[in-house]
Amino acid sequence: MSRLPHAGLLLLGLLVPRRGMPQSVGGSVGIDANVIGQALTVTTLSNLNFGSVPRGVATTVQPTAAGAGAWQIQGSKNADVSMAFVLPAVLTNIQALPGSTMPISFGATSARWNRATNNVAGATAFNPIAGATGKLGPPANPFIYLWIGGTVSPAAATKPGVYTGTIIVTIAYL
Amino acid sequence: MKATGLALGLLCGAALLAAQGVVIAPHAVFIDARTRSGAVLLYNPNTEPVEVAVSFFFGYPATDSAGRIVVDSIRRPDSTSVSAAGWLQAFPRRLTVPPLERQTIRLLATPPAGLADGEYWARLVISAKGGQLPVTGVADTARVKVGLTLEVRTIIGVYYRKGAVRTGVALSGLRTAVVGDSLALWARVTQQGNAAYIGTAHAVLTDSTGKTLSEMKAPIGVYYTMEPRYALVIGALAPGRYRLRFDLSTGREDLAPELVLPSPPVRDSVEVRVP
Amino acid sequence: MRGLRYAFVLTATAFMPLAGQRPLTVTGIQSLTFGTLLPGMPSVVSRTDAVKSGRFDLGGPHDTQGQVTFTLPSVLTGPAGATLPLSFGGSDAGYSQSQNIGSQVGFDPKQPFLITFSGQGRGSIFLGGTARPAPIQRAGSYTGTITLNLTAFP
Repeated sequence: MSRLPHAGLLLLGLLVPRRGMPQSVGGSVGIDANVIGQALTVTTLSNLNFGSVPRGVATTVQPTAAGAGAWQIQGSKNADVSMAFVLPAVLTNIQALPGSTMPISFGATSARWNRATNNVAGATAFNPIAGATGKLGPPANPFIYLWIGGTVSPAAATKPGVYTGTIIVTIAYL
Repeated sequence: MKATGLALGLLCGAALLAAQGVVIAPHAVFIDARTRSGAVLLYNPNTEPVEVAVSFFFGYPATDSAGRIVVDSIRRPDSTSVSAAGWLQAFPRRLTVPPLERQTIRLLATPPAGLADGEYWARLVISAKGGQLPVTGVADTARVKVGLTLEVRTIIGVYYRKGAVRTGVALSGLRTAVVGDSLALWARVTQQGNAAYIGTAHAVLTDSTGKTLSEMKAPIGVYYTMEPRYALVIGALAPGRYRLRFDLSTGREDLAPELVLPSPPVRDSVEVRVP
Repeated sequence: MRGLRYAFVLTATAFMPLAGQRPLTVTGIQSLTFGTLLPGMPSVVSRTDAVKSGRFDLGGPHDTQGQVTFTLPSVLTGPAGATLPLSFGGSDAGYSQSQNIGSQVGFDPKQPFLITFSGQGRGSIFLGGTARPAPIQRAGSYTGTITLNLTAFP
């Protein structure tokens, strides 16, 4: 009879929760992303700026000058791209009476392009009217740099004011 | 008469323009006939909004007589052509992308009934105009504000695939010439199957021991027949015999693998003699 | 009679629910999804993004504490073995006793974090992060795995 309490105490001891080793469990989730494919970016670095020009005197900005227009093209390394321009023939005075214009022209060496390096001095000259095809740079520098200049020819009686125009550069991925 | 300087407001004034451009991805859009839709992502990294307009035309890369790759634009494709330009639409066609934001342009194809299996092409033109720019150097600008527009047009390829599409390329006429410090090479490549061959051109110049002296890799798209010109920088090569190996394969790092149609590589080689 | 009393006590004891024996569970509910990425453009997913953030649901003894630690990848793996860098900031993880994404306490997933289970023995972890594709990142799908370890101290 006296064994029954002892058995009960033993059973109780077995059933009482014990302080012991911490429990640990784990779980996981995935991570996913989809890189859409190489992007193509054309960035305007600077505008073609003639500044102040005297009447009756043709003024030229070379593509190598500080006032030249400049673009950076970034895309897939070593890919071919074509570069073309839509160029204005005249600039329009937006302050004077309608009809005030000034001729602008572009020559055989008014544009330059350089593969990978932002260095106009070592760039290849071309006629922006004809356009050019070039190869984007190698993996470290998948760029093409593009510059454009031009010549404005204000007549002697050209009205003062602001003359404006638009240059369109077209980059085609080949 | 006082020589009055004219402030020329062509493409803005003396201040350097903050970098301006729209990021466009991917640079090639593949549309499956089962979904008939695709997408182009635009991202504006600038602090000014950018106005965007979208249009299509039919064209594909080809080579000129010098081996330069150009886009042949076909104004009036005939009924037998593989032009998709007439039945592709973009939504929206015009939009403004706010600064530092992304926008998606959806492309939807509505091909004619009974279109044969194969791949059909178009070029997507994305025109981006930046914000209005101030003009400097003008005597009186107190009440006149002038904005100048710059426009950048980017052209990428669109490919619509219906049914069973397959591609391949035939390689012939591999030839070389030493031009200054470069080795120029030309190859005649002809598309096979009913889809453009999108892959990578790879050229390696080795010496008699098999040592690689120069190497180049470039993406290529062959739509019909073309004769592209490539150049390897070789510097001053010693007189002797060398080997140029040229191969085309469909591996591309700039396109998701599942979009590129597989095709066995093709290769050829020629001896290069330097006198 | 006394024996019967002891037997009754033992039986009652045997059927008494014991504190600390609710099992610990960690269940992955939702992947951390960055979606479509542009090369060169970092992409951030906030831990409060209901669609894209990662989520784990935790279970354990009510009102008790547990320690959460993560195994976080530094890159995702993609086509041809290409890798895409991944990073986690000091507040990219969050814990919610109510399992409500709008009610979280932020913490650094790179450090151990002590959580307290709710009165129902539940809680949730939400996780964001930043993916940084390189400008010349190879196109394609990238994947990885986040592991959460939960340790309880009974």
